[in-house]
Amino acid sequence: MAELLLEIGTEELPAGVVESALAQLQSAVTQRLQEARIAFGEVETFGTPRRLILYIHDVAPSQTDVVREVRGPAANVAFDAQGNPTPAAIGFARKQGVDVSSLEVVSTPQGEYVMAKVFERGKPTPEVASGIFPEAIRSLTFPKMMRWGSGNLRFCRPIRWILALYDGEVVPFELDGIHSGNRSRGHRFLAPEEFEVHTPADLFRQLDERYVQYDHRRRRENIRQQADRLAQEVGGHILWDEALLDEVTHLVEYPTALLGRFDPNFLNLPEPILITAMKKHQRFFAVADAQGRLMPYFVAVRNGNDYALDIVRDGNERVLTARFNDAHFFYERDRQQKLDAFVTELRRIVFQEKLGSMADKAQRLVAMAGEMAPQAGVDASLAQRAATLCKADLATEVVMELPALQGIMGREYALLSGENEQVAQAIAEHYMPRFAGDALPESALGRLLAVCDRVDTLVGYVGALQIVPTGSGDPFGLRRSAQGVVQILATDANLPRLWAFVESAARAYAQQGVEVTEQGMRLLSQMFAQRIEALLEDEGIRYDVVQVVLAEERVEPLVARSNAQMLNALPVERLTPVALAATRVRNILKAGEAAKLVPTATWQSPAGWLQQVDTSLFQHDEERALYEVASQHEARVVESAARSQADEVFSLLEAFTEPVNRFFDAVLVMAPEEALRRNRLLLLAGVDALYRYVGDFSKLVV
Amino acid sequence: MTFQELLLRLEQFWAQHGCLILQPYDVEVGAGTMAPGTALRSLGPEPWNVAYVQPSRRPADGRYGRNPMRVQHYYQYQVILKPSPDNVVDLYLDSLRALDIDPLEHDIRFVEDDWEAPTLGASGVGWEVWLDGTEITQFTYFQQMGGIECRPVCAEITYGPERLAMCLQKKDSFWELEWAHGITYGEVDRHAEIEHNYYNFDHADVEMLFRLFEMFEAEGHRIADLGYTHPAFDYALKCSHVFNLLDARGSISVTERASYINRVRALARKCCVQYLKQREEMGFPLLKAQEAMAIV
Repeated sequence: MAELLLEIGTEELPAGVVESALAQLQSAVTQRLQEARIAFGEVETFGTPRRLILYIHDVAPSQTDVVREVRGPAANVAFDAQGNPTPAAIGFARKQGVDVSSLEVVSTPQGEYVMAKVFERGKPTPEVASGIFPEAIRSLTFPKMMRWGSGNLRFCRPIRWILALYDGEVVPFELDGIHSGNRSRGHRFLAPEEFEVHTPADLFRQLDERYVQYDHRRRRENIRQQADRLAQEVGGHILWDEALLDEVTHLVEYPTALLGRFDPNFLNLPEPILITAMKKHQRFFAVADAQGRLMPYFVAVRNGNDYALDIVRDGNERVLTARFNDAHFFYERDRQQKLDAFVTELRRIVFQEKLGSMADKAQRLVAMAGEMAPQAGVDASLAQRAATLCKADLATEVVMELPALQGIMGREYALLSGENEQVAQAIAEHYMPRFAGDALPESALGRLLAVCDRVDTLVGYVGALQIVPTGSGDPFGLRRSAQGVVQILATDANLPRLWAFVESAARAYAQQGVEVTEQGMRLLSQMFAQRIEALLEDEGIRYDVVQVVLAEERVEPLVARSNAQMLNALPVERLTPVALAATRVRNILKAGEAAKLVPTATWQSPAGWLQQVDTSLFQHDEERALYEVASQHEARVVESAARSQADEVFSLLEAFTEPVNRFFDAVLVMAPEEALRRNRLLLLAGVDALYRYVGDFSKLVV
Repeated sequence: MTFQELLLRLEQFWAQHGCLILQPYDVEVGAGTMAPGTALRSLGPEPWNVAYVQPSRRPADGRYGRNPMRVQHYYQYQVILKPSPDNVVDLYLDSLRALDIDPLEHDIRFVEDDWEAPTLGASGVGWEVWLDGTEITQFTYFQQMGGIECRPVCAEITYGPERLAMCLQKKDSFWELEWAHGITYGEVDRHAEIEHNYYNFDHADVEMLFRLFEMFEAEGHRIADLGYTHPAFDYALKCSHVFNLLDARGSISVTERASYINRVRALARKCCVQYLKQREEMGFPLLKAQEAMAIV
């Protein structure tokens, strides 16, 4: 069968968008083919900075035929008393292109109607693809879209040609003035002329000849091999950075790696400065020796062949020398002052317009760290010192030049300034995890500071300003911040609770005249809950169990996780009775009048409810029995929960199952007398509050 | 190739391709974009293909003449093509060839770099262009100016002539560049550079600058409201420069910063809106000059 081929030729796309664009293009086209009833086989995509290629194998020549059933006029209108078709039926049949004799009568809930079976022959694939391709191209979205020239089309970069073929023939369409055709272009410099294409194989062969390595996966491996070989030539190896490799892959159509050198004297600078300057400024790969020490070499990747490679090498070496000279100058300048001298400079760096400067942030962190340190078992003066200094490096010249070195230079400068080693480590670690999958801070002080910093950001943006990430956009990294907090707190029982951090942050903001809002705190609670949900789902916790432990407001990551793991591991025969009993309690409390009389939607401690119960109003032994078991267990449940001993909490709750069930069998909760009714509901509210230390069992699928 | 010849060749190249060669604008600007030849003219449907050298000032970027590439005063070579032609990248590469830069002998890359000028309410999408690892050009498709959508879109090509000259002359510092017949860039500009740095960072009269900002802003709004857009826009540029000086002096706190930027933008935006309206009332006169304006 024939093949469909689409190549969108563009000006140089940003490195970060190519693979997402290919995935979008593939799904946009294949979904539409499926909807259009066109069968197809394997689908491949290839991308370079200048082209997005979609190649679909074994595409059927046309849509499959269908028979559609079209309802016409009511039967009594379509046929007269003798059963002969009326003009209404004749008109309907003509309009549908069927013989009037083929009309059938069908009965529907609205009565009897005539129905035509209309045969629709599938349209040829090129005709359908002519509609699908432009629609699919228009459907692509990018983080930033643009228009160009006098056109209206929005895309990531200008589209300069479109090649669209089915079975060797052009699939004709027009997209905002750009006409599809059978022509492509080679490498921008090495083979700029247009050429004609007849088949996918023809395109791929010609691209190979015209210096375009169109397959990004192969291009990536090609760069890897070339760079490995060059590093080996000088007895070293590449310090691979996959993100950098991805970026470089999408900056070139025809990669030629080259080895450059720099003055070994620069190796006296801290390695992270050199590596980051090479990566961020120049997209160079760093080379290390067998001991992992940096060597005075780099690997650059040129978009072209090896012609005049010496000129390219010379230029790149020159510019790197200039970069390193700059970095050296900045490093020496920074070292003329101690790290704490930079703290006052932080007032010149904005944290957020309405939330003040980085100096304001540091001040809040000092307050939070001081409050939280004793609960975390960390020395308060060390915590405050680390908080004072943790942002100071943002005012240093090296970090202003290379922001990726924040924290890393802070540690470096802290040690040079004679600060405590734990403080220095915490400064570096408080940015961890820096990305999804990154390690968590190792030291307790680092973890404490990491949580303080992120909670401060979240309470400010979300709690006070009500700025939340949208589906695709998270310009301030709030989701990532919340994720970091949840990851750290869910795995560290020695740290204070999340909402203790939040309240501490809110107090620190209030000191500076910034107030959190109720709505903001609700948004924050939801945001944390979503991150906890994501964490638990990643850990393979059952969906309904996740819902149980996330049912309350202000969920604690550690508690939710230990409860979820406990519930997930329990055998059904232990889980079900507790869940059923808890659900009985819950359901009656949720119902209309009960909810008004004893409003359990607002959280109150078990003791708070139980103290309101009037034991003199008990009429049944079952009431007294439930009250007693609740009163006896209350303190232990609360205490075990406080230690996140989920198993213990559950074992204690198991003791409630029988008394609860007997209570419901013997006692009419909604008694006619209001005093009795209220008393019984108060008792159940106390029991419910105990169950709620695990979560809302009614969400469990049993 | 001397610095002087480089600029002359660019003038020559773009003139041959149909651009009007404008002369540098005479109010302090941070970039060629801010000159009215770009900022105002990029608005509206009239064709506009121009090129000009623009001396530019960024007080906070100075390093007292000690850094080889960081200065508070430098030059830009600015090209505006409206609407952006389909072959604009090829034209740009031809301009490099006119500077004896053969793409086959070098590594030329287009690295994503989107652009924003908050004081102008302007933004665009494009690249920085690298020549063997050095950024030599900023290439932008304007999307907005003064908060107004650019229709059609113009392409802005901003060459960094000093950096280009460094590559061509194989020099490691602006100061060593040969401006022309044996005279260096340093001999031409360094004395002024150093004095300006001391002024910008250490001696500028902050109280006076704050007063000037208020006066320039008030005057700008006053004359804009009288319908005189171009003089009003000059005052927006003056406000912007005074703001940059205050910033270099470290006299604008973080909380005030945004509000100063907003004030400059409000005046600039007023001028942009008014300019577009005036051109419309005039019937967009350059629409009649499509042919004379065409890029060849």
